[in-house]
Amino acid sequence: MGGVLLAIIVVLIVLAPWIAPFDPMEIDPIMRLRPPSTENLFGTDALGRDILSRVLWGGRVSLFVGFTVAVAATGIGLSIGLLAGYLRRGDEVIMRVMDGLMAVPGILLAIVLMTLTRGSITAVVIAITVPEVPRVVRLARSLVLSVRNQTYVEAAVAMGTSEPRILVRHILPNVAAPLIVQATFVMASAIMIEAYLGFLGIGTPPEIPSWGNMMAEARSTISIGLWAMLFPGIMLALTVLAINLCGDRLRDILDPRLARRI
Amino acid sequence: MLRYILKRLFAAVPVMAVVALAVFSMMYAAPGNPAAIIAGDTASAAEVAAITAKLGLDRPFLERLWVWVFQMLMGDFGSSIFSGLPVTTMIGQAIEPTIALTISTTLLAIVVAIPMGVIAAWRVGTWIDRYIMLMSVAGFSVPVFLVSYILVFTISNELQWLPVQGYKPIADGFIPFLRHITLPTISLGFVYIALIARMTRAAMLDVLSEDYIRTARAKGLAEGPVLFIHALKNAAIPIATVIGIGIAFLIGGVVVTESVFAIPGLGRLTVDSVLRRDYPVIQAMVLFFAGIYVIINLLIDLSYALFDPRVRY
Repeated sequence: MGGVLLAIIVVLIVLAPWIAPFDPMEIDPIMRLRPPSTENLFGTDALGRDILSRVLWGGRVSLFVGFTVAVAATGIGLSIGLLAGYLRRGDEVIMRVMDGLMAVPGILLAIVLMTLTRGSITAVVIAITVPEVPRVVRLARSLVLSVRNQTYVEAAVAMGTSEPRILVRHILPNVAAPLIVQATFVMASAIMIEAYLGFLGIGTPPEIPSWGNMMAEARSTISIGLWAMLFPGIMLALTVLAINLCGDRLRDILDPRLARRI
Repeated sequence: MLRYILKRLFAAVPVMAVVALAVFSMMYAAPGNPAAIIAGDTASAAEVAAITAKLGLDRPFLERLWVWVFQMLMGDFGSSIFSGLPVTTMIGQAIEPTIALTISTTLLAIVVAIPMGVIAAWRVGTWIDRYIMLMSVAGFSVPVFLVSYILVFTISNELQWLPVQGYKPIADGFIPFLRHITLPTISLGFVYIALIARMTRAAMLDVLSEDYIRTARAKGLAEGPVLFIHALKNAAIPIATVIGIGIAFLIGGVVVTESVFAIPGLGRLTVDSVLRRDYPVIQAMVLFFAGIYVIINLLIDLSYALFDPRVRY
């Protein structure tokens, strides 16, 4: 169910330039704040822009940020996890730094990181990636620690296999599954935090249509109608829900032992 | 017990040191000169330089770090660039609404989520279980501010049952307090309920397959006591742990919820100071939230002894 839903959302968003009925930036003062109709399926916002078109275009920001953060956080987290868990270099120090970063709630850390730069999508990606990394490091390190003591690794070492080869052939394949599952949850959380930042007015620059920005703009017209807030919000919720469901399903397939637990 | 608490507090020192160092480095690297903000738009370069020197902003990194840490150890967390008020005063003024909101949300979440999780585990595999689990995944996926605005629009705007926004302290009477805090609590509760319900179900599933549960049922005990006394008590530790982990979600949610409902709490204070780049306040807020998080997790660990007499510290 999650997979089908996610596929539909991704296709709609990727096809946005071709299927969006209007230009997402086109301002039309006469058409301000129209409720949903056959012409504007999702209605129009305070500047008369078509909400359906903006929702479709805005999804690109969400998917881009979600995907980039998931890849970056998993990549960085896995590298640090291997350094700490397999090579055992600076293990103690690395883990204390990770503990420190994890003591600050993720959204708060992202908000604070946003003050460091002028708002841009790159800044948003970095601000969301940093709080996610320690969680990946913890998982990667504990997985690596349990795998490196397995007999097959011992056997490989005894046979004189080179270290890079052990890493690639024996360690990585055995830690990949839980990390992929984790990456889907990172993606869901990144999309959510991107919207939070936009909503608070400190995320993606306001001229770019993103779901968070649209909902932030809709705040001022909330007493007139809910639709300007509702549609980007529903799309956001559906996207995050679809990714979370995919993550759950993926975990059930890849790790049957864990499936029963959570 | 006391030894354990001291040991844990001691272990928290490096964690807080990392947070302090990180937050200080970030603010050190942050763009914009606070002295220029204080001096105002019409100030001359000489005036800005004078304020810079007075604040010690022209000093090297390590010296500034040392002064900052030393002042904090003496209880001086700095002052806001904007209002000039000491940060401790500002936190003191904003803390009550946030504590009230956190407690009410935690209570709501526990009261709703634990029975949900217990029932899902009890009827595992049935439509009730699947429905509760779907609700719980959905709870993770719906943004706090969407829930907030749907509630505001329906309950406050259309039905006019509850005030749209604002906050009334308990001192102004319990009913006005309750009227103002209900909607923020429900909005904030969603994620927390989802998290606790999921963990309760998982922990209960583990416990329900134990021999003593079969024994309790075999001796003819009703399902209610079996579930809520025998099983739940033994499932309490993972549930308590996730309540502690959830505090981080809660703090994140508080930032957004307070902003939606115009509640003058710590979340609003944080967002406002970020928007104004009021660095001393931001620094103090991050440290404060990290400290709260560390302390709450210590309390959660201590609570294990309460649920399980075998746990001794």
